[in-house]
Amino acid sequence: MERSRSSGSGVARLLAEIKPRWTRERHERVFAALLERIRAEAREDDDERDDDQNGHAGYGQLDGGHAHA
Amino acid sequence: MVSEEELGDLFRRYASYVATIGIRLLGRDDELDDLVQEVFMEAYRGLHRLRSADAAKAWLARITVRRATRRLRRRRVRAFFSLESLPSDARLVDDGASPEERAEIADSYRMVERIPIRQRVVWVLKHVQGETLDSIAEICRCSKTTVQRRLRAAEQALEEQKQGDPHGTLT
Repeated sequence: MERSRSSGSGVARLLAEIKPRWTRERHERVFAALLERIRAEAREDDDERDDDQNGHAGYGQLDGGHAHA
Repeated sequence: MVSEEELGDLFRRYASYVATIGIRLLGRDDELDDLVQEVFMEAYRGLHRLRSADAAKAWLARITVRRATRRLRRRRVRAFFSLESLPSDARLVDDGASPEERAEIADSYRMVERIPIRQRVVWVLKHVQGETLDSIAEICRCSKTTVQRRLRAAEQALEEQKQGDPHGTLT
């Protein structure tokens, strides 16, 4: 491996050898996991929205009940 | 929010670029898949705000640097409390590298790892990733003067380590 004589550039040259093993298989695996995370997050958001709506409906019914009591 | 197809297109074009910056900053492969996912999760949420496709690369680099920096800080805290240390045989290079080359690269990373994180990030972006000063300033959201100051500090830190480097890796 070629070495530079100037300070720090020897390290830079060595670190430039660092490359991820970004194979097609890994690329597809990471993308599939990414989509799964995005979909899981979207499901959680939907669940929270449903909970909020049900919660509001519940309060509405209670308020209604009190109003007529 | 953008479609999964648009995200897939962005991922196809830039995932390996993000992974390359990520591994050079983190110095290890085992956190990389998670980092790449985090970066593209954030990109997915913000992609609709991106003004032009040309800006995507620098924008992704900015997210990657911010996320990797956060991980490095967490790692430093864990290391301070002795909860984590860099594995000595961290697999950083491809299988074609000799054991000696692997050892040299791991030693080099350990030297860079002793530089304060913000200085280390600009040094890696400049000298390893080959980014320009303007580009680093944009990626790190700081002035060019700050980039230059951090670079000088990083080089000084490496120079100081060189004085005590028994194997001559820095020379």
